[in-house]
Amino acid sequence: MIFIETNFIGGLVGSGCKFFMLLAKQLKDVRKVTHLLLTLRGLQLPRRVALALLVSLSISLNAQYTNDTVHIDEVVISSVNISKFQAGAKIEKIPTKQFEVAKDGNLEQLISRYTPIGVKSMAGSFSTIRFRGTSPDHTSINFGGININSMTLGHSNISNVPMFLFDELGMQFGSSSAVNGSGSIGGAIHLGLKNYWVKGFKTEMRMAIGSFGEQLYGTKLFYGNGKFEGVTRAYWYRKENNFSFYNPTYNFESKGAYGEDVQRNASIDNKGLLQEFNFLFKSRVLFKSKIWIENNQHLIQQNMQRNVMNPDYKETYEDHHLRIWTTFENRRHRIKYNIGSGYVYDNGIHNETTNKIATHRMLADANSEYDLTSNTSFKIGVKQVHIIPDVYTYDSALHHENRTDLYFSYHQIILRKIKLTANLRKGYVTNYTVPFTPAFGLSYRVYSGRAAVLKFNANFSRSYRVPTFNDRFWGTQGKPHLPPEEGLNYELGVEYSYCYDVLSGNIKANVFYLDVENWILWKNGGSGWVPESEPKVKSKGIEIVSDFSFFLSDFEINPGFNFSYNPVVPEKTTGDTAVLGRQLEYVPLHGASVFLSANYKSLNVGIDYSYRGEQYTNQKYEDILPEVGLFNVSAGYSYKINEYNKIALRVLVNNILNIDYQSTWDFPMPRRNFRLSITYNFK
Amino acid sequence: MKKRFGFLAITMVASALAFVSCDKDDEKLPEVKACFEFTPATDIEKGDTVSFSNCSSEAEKYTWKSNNEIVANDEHISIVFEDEGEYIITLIAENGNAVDSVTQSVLVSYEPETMSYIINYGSYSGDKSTITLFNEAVNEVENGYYNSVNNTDMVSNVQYAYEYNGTFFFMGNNADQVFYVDAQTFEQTKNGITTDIVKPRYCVGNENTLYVSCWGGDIWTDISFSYIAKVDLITNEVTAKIALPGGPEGLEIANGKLYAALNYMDSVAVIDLANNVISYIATPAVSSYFVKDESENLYVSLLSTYGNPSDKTGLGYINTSSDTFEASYDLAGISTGYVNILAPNNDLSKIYTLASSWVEEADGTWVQKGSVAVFDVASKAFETAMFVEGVAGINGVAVDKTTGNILVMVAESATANGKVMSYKADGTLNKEYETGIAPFMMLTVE
Repeated sequence: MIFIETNFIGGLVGSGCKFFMLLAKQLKDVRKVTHLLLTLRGLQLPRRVALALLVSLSISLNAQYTNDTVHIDEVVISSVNISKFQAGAKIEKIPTKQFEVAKDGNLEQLISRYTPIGVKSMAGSFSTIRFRGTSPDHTSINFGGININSMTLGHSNISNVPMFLFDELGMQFGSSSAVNGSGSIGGAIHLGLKNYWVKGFKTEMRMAIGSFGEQLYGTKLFYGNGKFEGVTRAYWYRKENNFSFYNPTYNFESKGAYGEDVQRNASIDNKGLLQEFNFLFKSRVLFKSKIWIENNQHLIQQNMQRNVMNPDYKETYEDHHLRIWTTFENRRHRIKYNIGSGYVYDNGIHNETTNKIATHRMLADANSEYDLTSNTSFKIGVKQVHIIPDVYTYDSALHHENRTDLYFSYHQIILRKIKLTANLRKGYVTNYTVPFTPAFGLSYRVYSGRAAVLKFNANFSRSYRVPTFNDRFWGTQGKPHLPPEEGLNYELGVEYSYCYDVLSGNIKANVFYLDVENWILWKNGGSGWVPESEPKVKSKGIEIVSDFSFFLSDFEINPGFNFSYNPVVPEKTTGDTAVLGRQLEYVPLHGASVFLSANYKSLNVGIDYSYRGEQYTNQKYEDILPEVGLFNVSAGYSYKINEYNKIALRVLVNNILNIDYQSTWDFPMPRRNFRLSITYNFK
Repeated sequence: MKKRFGFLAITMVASALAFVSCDKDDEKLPEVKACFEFTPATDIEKGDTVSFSNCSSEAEKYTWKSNNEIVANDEHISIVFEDEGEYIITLIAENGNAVDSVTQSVLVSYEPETMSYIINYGSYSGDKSTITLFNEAVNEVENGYYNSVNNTDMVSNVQYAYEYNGTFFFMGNNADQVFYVDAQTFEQTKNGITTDIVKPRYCVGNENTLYVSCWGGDIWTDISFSYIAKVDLITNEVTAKIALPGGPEGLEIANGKLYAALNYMDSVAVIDLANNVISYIATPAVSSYFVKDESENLYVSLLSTYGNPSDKTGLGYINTSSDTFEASYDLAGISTGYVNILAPNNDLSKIYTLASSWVEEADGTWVQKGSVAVFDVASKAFETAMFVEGVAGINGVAVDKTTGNILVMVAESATANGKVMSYKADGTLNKEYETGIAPFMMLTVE
C-alpha cells in the first residue's frame, strides 16, 4: 500500500508533476497496482476502488495544479499551513530526502550542508545561526507555539537541536514578527512533527556510529487506535570529538608550529525525550500535546592555543530544557479555532556553578480563523506569555514579565491569480513598549500552463525584538528601557516551476532588503560592559534556489543548488574606531550549496558541496576566515524484510577532501569523518 | 692638386681659430675648491644640532643641500636633524663661472631613553593580545609590534605585563601561561610557563622569584581556588604554590613582605616571604591594585562589586610597617575593571584613578561613562573636578614617563581597534592614537 498524505498536495509546484510520475511508475507495474490499497484518512478500500480513486485523485490533483494556485506552494509544518497568511514570503521546507540524510545529526549540520544560511560553529558543541547576516537573536526557532530561544541570551545553540526527534523542518527567510512575534527579524525555523494516527503499534530504532567517538541511539514508538495516538521519541547522542587538526600555534622550543594536534576536552553528551499524546475527536477536531525534555552537556571547545598549551583545561556547559505545548483545534467549520498553552523551563549551567540562570515561561495562544468565502479568510488571535526569571544577577524585585500579543491576519484570492495577505500585530510588554508590526504580501501567478507556472512574489514586513532579559536586567549594566530592535524587510521574488515529460523542477530567485535599527551590542561603557542599541545594519542580497527531478524508469535523480549573495553592512555604530561600510563579521558575502541525489529502487546515493566565502572575524582587516568548500557524500539502502519489518542502512562521509578549516576563528573543525547508521522499522 | 691645396687652407684657418680660443681660456679662472667639515661627526642622534664648517677655497658663493634640497646659502651652517636616517649633505662652492662641489653623508641615529609599549588585551573569546610600540615624544606608534619582532602572534590574552631585570613578563589567559620577552628586543625565545599556572592575574618580582597571583579557576564560584605561584627565575619553573583564597589580584613587595589585594574578600593578604605565613589586613571593601609610595606604604583601590558590595570605595592607605589600614579616601564609582586603574605620575604627587561618573546625554538621559579622578597625595584627597569625564569605553590610564602626559586607554568594542587619548597635565587633549583591540596598560623600560 502507499500512503498519501494531505500535505502531499501542498508540496511545491512541480510536486504535482512528481506525483504524476510516481503514479505512472506505480501504474507500470500492474501487479503492484492490483495489490494497491489506498489508505487515505484511515480508509482502507478494495483494490479496484482504490485504483479508481487513485487515478481520479491524480487527475484532480493535476487539475488543482494547473487551474488553481490556492494550494500550490503552501508550506505545512506540523499540520499548520505557515504560508497561508504570508503571501510573497520566502518559506522553504527541507526536502524529505535531505532531511533523512541529516536525521542522525543536529540542526547546525543540516543547515550547513544544504542551505546557504550562515552558521558559526564550534566543532558540533555550540553553533549559532545567522539568517541573512542578522544575529542569532534575530531568528526564532519555533516548536509548536514556543520560540525555544533563551529568554536570557536571546538565541539557541542549534547544535543541541537533534533532527532525529523531528519529522520536518521549515525555514522562513526574512522578517516575520507579524506572524511569529518578537525576534523573527532575519528568519524563522519551524521544527515539525507529523501526525500518523497509527492503528496498533509501530516503531523505529536507530543506531549510528561515527568518527571521533560519535554515537546516536534513538527510538520512536507510535501507538494508537486511529483516534488516539501516542508517540514517544528518545535519543542519546554522544561524541568524544577528539579529531585531528593542524595547529599553527608557534612553538618557541622547536622553532615552528606545533603542527598535528588532537582536539581535547570537547566532548558532547546530549539526551532528549519527546512525548506526544494526540486525540482525533472527529475529522479536523483534535487535541495535540507534546513534551520535549532535553539534557545537553558538553565540554566547551577551547581555542587551538589553549588546546595545546593547557591540555588538561576543561570547561563544562549544561542545558536543561522542558518544553510543553498543547493545542486543541477545531477546523470543521467556517469558523475554525485553535487554543494552545504551554510551559517552558530553561536552565544553563556553566562550569557547574550554583549561580542560577534559569527562566520559566507560561504561554497561552488562542486564535480563530474565519473563511468568509472560498477566497477570503481572516484570523484573529491573542498570545500571552508570563515569564519568571530566576537569574542570580537580576534584581530580586523583578518577579515576572507579561507579554501579550494581539494579531490579525487576512487572506484574499483575486481572480484565481492573485493572493494578498496582511498581518497586523501589536505587542504589550510589562513596563516596555514594542512597535506595531504590520506585514503585507502579494503573490501573482503571471503565467500558468499545462507544464509550467510563473509566479511573482512581493512582501513587506516590519519586525522587532524585545531585548533579552540580560540586556535589560543583568546586574547593574542592564538597561530596562533599551529600545527594541526594529527591522524592515522588503522582498521580491520570482518563481518558475515546470514539468516536461520526465523532468520537473523549480527555480526561485529572491532579492531582499533588510534594514535593522537599534541593533543591540554590548559595549564597554565606563563602568563595565553595557548593552547599546545605536548600531544600524543594512542587509540586502539575492538568493537563488533550484531543484529538479528527473525520472527514468526506476531511476530518479534530484539535483539542486542554493546560492546567496548577501552584503551586510553596518552603517552606524558606537565608537570612532569601529569599521563602517564593510561586510559584517561572520557573514560570508557568498554562500552556496549544490547537491545531487540519485535513487534506484531502494538505493539512494547523494553528493553535496557547500561553500562559504571568506568571513571577517573582527572589525579589522586581519584574522579573516578563508573561503571553504566541503564535499560530502552519502549512500543509503533500505531493505524490506517483510510486510512489517524494514531495515535501512546509511553511510555518510563528510569533508571527503579532508580540509582543515574553521567556522569560528581559532577553533578547528573536523577533517574527513564518517557516520554509519542503521534504522529498523517495525510496521 | 686643387683638392690638396683646399685642405691645407682649411687646416690653417682652423689652427688660427684654435689659437684665438686658447687665448680666451687663458683668462685665469679662480681655482675653487669645495670643502666642509661637521661636528659632531659621529654619534649623532635624532634632535641633535650639527655644525657644518665651510673650508672651501677661492669661493664666493655657497649652496648647501640636504638630500638634494637647498637648505642654506650661508658660509657656515647648523642643521637640527629631527628624524633618524642617513642625510646626504652637499656643498656647492662657486666663484663666477668656477664651480666645485663636495658631498658627505651624515648618519643620524635614534636611541630613545625609554621605550613604551601599550598592551592591547584583545578579546577573551576572540582576538589575542597585541602590542603597540608607543613613543609619543617622537610621534612613534607601531601596532602589531610583537608580531613584527617575533613573526608570530601572541597566543594569550594578557592580563598584566611587568618589567623585571630586563625581561617583560606577561600574565597570559586563554591560553594560561606566564611568558616573557627580552625587554630590549621584545624577542620571545622560549615557550611560556604553563605548569601550575591557571588564570594568572598579576605578578611582582623579588630577587630571583616572580610571585604570580592566580585565580586557579572560576573564582566567583569558589574563592578557595586561588593561590600565589612562585616562579624561579633561574629555572623558569613554578617551585611552589601558596594557597591564598579570596582571588588575589594586585601584588606588591614592601618591607620584605608580599601584599596581595583580594578581589573576593574584604581584606589584603600579607605573606611573610621567609616562611609563607599569611596574615590579613581588614579593608572596608574588596581591593584590586596597589601603588607604593616612597615610605614603602601602599595605596590600595577599594571597590564595590556585585558579590561584595560596599559604600566605602576609593583608595585605602596601608602602613606596611605596622600592617594596619590607616585611612580611606572615598571615590564613588572607582573602576572595577581588571585593567590599569591606578597611575601615579612621575613624582608620585598625583595618582590618576579610573572611575565612572554620570553624564547627561544630548537627549536628556543620564548615562554612566568613564572618567579619570585625581588623587592629590599631598592633601590626601581626590580633587573635586575630574581630570577627564564622559569617555565611553574607558579601559585604563597611564602616565607617560617621558612626556608626563596622561594616557587614557579607550576600548568601546571587543572586536574593533581601540585608541589612546593623550592629555597634557593641565587636562587638554594632546592627540589620539589608534591601537590594537582593547588597550589597557602601558609598559615602559629605560
